[in-house]
Amino acid sequence: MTGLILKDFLILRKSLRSYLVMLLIYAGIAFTGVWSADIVGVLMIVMVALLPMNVFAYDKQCQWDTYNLALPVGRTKTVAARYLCVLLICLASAALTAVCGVALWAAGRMEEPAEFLITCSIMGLMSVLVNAIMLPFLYKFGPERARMMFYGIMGGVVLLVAAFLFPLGGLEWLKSLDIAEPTLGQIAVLPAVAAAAGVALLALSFLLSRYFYGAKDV
Amino acid sequence: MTNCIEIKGLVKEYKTFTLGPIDLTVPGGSILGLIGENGAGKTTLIKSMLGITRPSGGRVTLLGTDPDHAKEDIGVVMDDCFFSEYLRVKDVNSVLSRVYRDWDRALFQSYLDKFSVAGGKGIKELSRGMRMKLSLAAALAHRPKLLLLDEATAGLDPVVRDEILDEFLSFISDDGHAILISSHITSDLEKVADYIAYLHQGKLLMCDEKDRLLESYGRLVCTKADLEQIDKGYVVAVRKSQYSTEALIRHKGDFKRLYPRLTVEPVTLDELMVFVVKGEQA
Repeated sequence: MTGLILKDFLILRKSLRSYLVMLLIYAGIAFTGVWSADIVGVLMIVMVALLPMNVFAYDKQCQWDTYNLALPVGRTKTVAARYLCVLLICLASAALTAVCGVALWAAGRMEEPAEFLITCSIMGLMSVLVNAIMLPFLYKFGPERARMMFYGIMGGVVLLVAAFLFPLGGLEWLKSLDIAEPTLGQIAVLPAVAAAAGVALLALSFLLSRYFYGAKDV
Repeated sequence: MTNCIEIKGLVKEYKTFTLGPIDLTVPGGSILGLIGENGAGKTTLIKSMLGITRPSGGRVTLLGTDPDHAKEDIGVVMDDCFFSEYLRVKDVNSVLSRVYRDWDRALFQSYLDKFSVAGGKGIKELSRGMRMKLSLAAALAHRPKLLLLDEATAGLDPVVRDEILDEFLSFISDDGHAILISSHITSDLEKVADYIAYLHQGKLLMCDEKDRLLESYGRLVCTKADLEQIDKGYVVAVRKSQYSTEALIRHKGDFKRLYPRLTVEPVTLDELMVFVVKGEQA
């Protein structure tokens, strides 16, 4: 199984390098103060959503799935390896974002570290959620169709949320709920809660993907 | 001698195509050449044997066990290189050494050297021939007992093909080893195969020792009048053109004794295939 995880990282080598460069550029822009540090978190969610999709596309390109099933690995371990790869990408991405955040904070370029922590936790959870939804689609329908379906679903969700918020006058109604500001302690545990929720989501998603891949004729 | 491949009643059904039922046995120390036109079911058969595609029925035993348990001892080469263009040749060594229990990194490197494949190159820089050699090196580096090769020699020049065929012959010098190779290059199979299995539209039309197959069939070149005179029991298929009439004859020895006046020439695997696919049934 470690061989398959290594394979995924090796074929993503160039993409990961580009991601690192972009992260440095975005962190640099945040350092200048042109954009807020939250932009680093936004980059994280975009990249973490795109990288696994790319692995499926690269595998499809060279028909790796056919060869993979001739290897002494088995279908469950194949899916598990892909999920571990995604989890590692998410964790590495979160760690890098945190490093950027700490650097920006230490340089005095971040006004609200707590806000950054909340944003990054939510973004991290979102990136895992995106993968948890996306991966079963990728196993069931393949990269091209899954990508289109995913964009369709995401577009649909955005439209639904907009349709819900528009009559309420946007997010202003949230203020009327009178939610208390989170305490520092609550903020501190947020990343751990987000990580636990992410792992639980991925575990559920894994069961679905394993079912789809198990029934698949390559 | 034990059987390395035993297939009983293997069936794979698709909406528009059915493979089988296939019964096939390949003893250790031998090479079975699988022939058939495009779409005859050769790749489907190999995929079904490995569980890549799930058979609709039947039983496959590889190296005395079910395919999933035998995969550590099976080397596979399909009709293309399945390693991503984003990998380097040496990455294959790193990846597969973590997949196969008995992967031998030095042996893989020695095959790369033997086939003149540079380890530092990116896979996208390799020609088709080089990629096939890389696939072969990957199929051999975990010291398999069974090789399943689907068009593994396609796209290779005659010199390289010859080297690889020698490799196959040396591989089966061990009685516990066997090879199943599908190929359109029937001259390769005539050189190395001990058995020939002929798939046509998903059905196994012939499966026999190569020498016996080539000895028992012959190509009769005659006139239309001659053809009408002979016992139709000997005729498998007929090809007629404006200038000649040819027939594929079974039981060549008996036929020659019965009709000494007629000319029966040896038949090649290519001709055998063309007769069956394009010839008229007698």
